[in-house]
Amino acid sequence: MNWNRSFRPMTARLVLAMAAATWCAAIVAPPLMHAVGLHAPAIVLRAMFAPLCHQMTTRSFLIGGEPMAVCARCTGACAGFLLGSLGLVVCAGADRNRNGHGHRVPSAALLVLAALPSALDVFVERSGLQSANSISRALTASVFGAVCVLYVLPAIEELPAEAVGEIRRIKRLVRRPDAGTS
Amino acid sequence: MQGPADIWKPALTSGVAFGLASAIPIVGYLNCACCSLVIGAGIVASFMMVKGSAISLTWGRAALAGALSGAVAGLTQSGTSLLLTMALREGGPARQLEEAFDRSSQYLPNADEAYQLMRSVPAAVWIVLSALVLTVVYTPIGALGGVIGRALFERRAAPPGPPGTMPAAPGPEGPAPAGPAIPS
Repeated sequence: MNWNRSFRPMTARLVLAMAAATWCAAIVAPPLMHAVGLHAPAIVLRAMFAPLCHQMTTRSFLIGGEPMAVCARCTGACAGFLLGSLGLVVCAGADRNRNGHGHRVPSAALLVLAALPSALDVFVERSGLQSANSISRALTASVFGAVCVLYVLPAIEELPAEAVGEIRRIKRLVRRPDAGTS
Repeated sequence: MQGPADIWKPALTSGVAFGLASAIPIVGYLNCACCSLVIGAGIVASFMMVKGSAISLTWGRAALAGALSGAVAGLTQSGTSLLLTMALREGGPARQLEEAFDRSSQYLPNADEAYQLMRSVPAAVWIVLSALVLTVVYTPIGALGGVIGRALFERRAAPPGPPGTMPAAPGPEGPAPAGPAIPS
């Protein structure tokens, strides 16, 4: 692979889908690991997600009576991201915009709009209008997760070239400190 | 012509600031709300890059800055947590592991053996492992924050370029050799 160039659109989509699948597998894994006797790795995996989520059992999906590594809302967001990235793989090559990305990047308004269902769900729950359940938390968060994919894909396409460019820039600065920064 | 935005200053500034915030006992719980502090680190890094550059910030550069700020936040949080643990004699990786075990023991009463095995591992190993895990977990979340920040704050048109490439903007010292090549 020529790292001077960015990922090809299809490669980026596959990388994104695989990364999302790995992340989701790590979320689902602890209860399954407990079931087959892998207690220590399951506990470590659960501790790994602890800084990112409250992990309350009452707010989590259960597998065999055990909660997943993160709460229902986080699970929904990750599942939505996975579904969105799989959708991009399926729809690969459908459109190309003028900026060279394999797909059209929507405006920030869509991102804000996608966060609204979750915000509304939290508001409804906090205000006591209706008690939210795990399904509603996951579904509303999955919308945001799925929409995020549209913004992350161009970043994944450009990331290798940017990273290599930055490394070379640092090497150049180390060799010739007076070369300036940006 | 001005080159692309500098990554390091925004990434280090926001990473250290949000890493410190994550290590503070009560403030750190904000991360339980959709990793808001780590995502915030990426968003702030992107915002600083957008404001500090004359040309449009690319998605890849925003993600890279966000990822760096996430990694820095992870390392900062680990270091600060360790210092707080030593100062307050509580918290830290061992405490986090105990909490994870407590949660597991609610539905896994016979996991004592696994817990004893894990307790036999020296504290230094847990500290290094915890820092490594935090950095690995925070990096993609920070990158997501960087992308969100780019979407929210960059109003300028994306620089043109052929499909599959990044625009190569020459720096003050001449054309940037580091820039992704545009195939002929």
